[in-house]
Amino acid sequence: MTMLLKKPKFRLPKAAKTRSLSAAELDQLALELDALRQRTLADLGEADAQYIRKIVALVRYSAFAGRGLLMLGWLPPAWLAGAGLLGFAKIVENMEVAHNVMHGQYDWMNDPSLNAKSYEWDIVGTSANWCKTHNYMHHTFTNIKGVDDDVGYGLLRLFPEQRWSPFFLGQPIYAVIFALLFQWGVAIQDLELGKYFKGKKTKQQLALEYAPVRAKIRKQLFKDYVFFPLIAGPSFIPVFLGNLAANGIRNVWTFSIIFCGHFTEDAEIFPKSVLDNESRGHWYYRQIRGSSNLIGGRLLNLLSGNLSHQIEHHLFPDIPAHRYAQLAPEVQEICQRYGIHYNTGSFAKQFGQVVWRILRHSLPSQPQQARVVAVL
Amino acid sequence: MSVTFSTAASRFGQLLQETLHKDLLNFWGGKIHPLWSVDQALAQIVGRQIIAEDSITLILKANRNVQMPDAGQHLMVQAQINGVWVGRSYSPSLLPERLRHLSITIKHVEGGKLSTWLTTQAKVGDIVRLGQPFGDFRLPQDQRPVVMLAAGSGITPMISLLRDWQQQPDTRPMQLHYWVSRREQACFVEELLCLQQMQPNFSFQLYLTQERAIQAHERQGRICVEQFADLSDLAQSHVLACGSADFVQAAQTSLPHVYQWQVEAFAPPAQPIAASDQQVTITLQRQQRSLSVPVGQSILAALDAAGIAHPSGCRMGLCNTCACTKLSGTTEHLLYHQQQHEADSALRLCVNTAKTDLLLDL
Repeated sequence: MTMLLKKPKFRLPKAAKTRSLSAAELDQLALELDALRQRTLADLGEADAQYIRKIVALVRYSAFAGRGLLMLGWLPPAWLAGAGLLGFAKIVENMEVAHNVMHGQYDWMNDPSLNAKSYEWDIVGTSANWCKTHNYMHHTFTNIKGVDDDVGYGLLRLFPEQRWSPFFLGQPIYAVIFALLFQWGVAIQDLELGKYFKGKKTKQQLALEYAPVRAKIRKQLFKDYVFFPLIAGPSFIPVFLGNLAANGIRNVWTFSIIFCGHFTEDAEIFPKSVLDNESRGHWYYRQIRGSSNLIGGRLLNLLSGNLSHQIEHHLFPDIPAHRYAQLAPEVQEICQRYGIHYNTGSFAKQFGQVVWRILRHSLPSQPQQARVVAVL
Repeated sequence: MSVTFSTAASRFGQLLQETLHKDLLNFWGGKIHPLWSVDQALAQIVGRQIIAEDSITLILKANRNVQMPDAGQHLMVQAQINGVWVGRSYSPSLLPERLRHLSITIKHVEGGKLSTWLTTQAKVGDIVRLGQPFGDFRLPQDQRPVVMLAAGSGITPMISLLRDWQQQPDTRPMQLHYWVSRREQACFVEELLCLQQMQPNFSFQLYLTQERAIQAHERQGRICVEQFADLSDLAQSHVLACGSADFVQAAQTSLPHVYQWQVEAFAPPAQPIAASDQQVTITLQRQQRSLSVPVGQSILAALDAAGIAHPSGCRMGLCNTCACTKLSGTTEHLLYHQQQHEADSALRLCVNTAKTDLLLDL
């Protein structure tokens, strides 16, 4: 049974890889996924605690080794190894520790150093702002046009449904700069500068919101560009440049992983109208349709903070991420039974599709013919 | 000029402190020695002794962050069990010959998480976290006679007070009455008999509720009025009672006229409540406010209805924005119906309802 939607421009991918589900089917889907969540949460214990502690130790030791090597950084091999190790430490801290801890995945441990409300991460942005823009806004309103700011961050046009303007012609350049400076983009995301420039936010309000961000920026810049270079003495310059490089490595990598999560070819965006009385089942359904995975083995899982399993993460943001690989076969099986496309591929393939989106939609583009779809 | 210099210096100091923050220092310090911590109050098990059929004593060495309790006080002891820090309160004794050492005696409670772990799995070298001492149990300053009534693990604050008293004993009459089911479960009996020999003003009675009394210091039966019939100066005595809630109530019934009571009761285990028309009280500790809410309503909705602002986000139990710490009480998850009894645990207010009175860290 099909019904014409009141809102136009509801685009399905070319081959209609996902079939539409009835309200009853969506309820059933919710029950199955809820049950999977419950079983997994009930199973959390010693192994999960040991895992996160091991990863925290990995971050600390790698950072120590990286920073140590950078102090010998006048020797090029030491500098390269040092910057690489420090970049690795920053990546793992950002992806596997901070992102997951801040989702509350480890709150059950009662460990104050792994508590979502108190964890402060190693980037210029504050954890408080991230928890708001990411945990709440992005995860609740995933891929909803005009609500999920992560769809382009107000800088890039990634879907034909987004209105084109000549500004976007430059977006291949913006994307490169954005990738290199990604932590800064994250830091200012919650300031909603767009509103300020449109006159919808006063200068005082912006100053108020900026104060904690400024404090965090100051702290981060001091740590990487004053403290460590100073204690390195004669190796001030290699340490300074090495820290800059490590931050850059982390920025580019996290940008890439995050973009692969929602902007591959088959990822979909949704109109605001889907939020009207959205059922729990439809929320799950929308999470799967808006997310994409990466196939890459355990190293990619670690480096991506298990966002190689973006679909599982969006279904279960509060389950410790290292469990997603275990859950994936069952999630895939559920998707198959319900006829929902499970979007996955190699890093090269998925990232290639992201690059294509950035290039293609820098030019004017139209969504495909609006097809009617039944979402009862 | 000097003002700017000192501001810059203090700002530098603050930035330095943020760079070398406590999680970082605790990590590396902990690698050197497990008790080294900038802020955490930790203790290491340095001794273990089986002292009764179902009780053991652990000797703990506390780090400098631990506030040492007074005799008779309690503190929260937390151990990591299956990845989770689980805490319960115990009443330690100080060891005067060993500075910064404590001894805690744990009785194995059937189905008890921490008591089971501490009595069966804790070993020398393990680290526990300690909380702030609390409790007002103390020997009164005046010289009136003191009667101590203890049942089961209620003996622990009494033994702590007596050991402290023994350091500087006075002449007031002191009595200890101690109830256990069977004599194998009684702790510290030799120590108490020895104290009775050395201090003529101290007397000790052991009451067995499930066995016949045989030895001189033993009597039979649960606490009752008759056991105190021949105590003449009760009206002038301080009475200290510690045990289960039932015991403490029975004690107060059995000794109707005393000078002053000091009582500590162990709360009964949390019971799930089925009735849905019930109202419970949610107390916000920091805001010092209480509200009465129906069982079954989400706690977030209850706060909204009371006009209490609290951060919220997805309102479906996922984004963690509404999470806060539940200090005590039982909650039930509205979707999955799981009940949570643990103190000091993270709670998402939008998808949980109160089943008993709650204390929240808000």
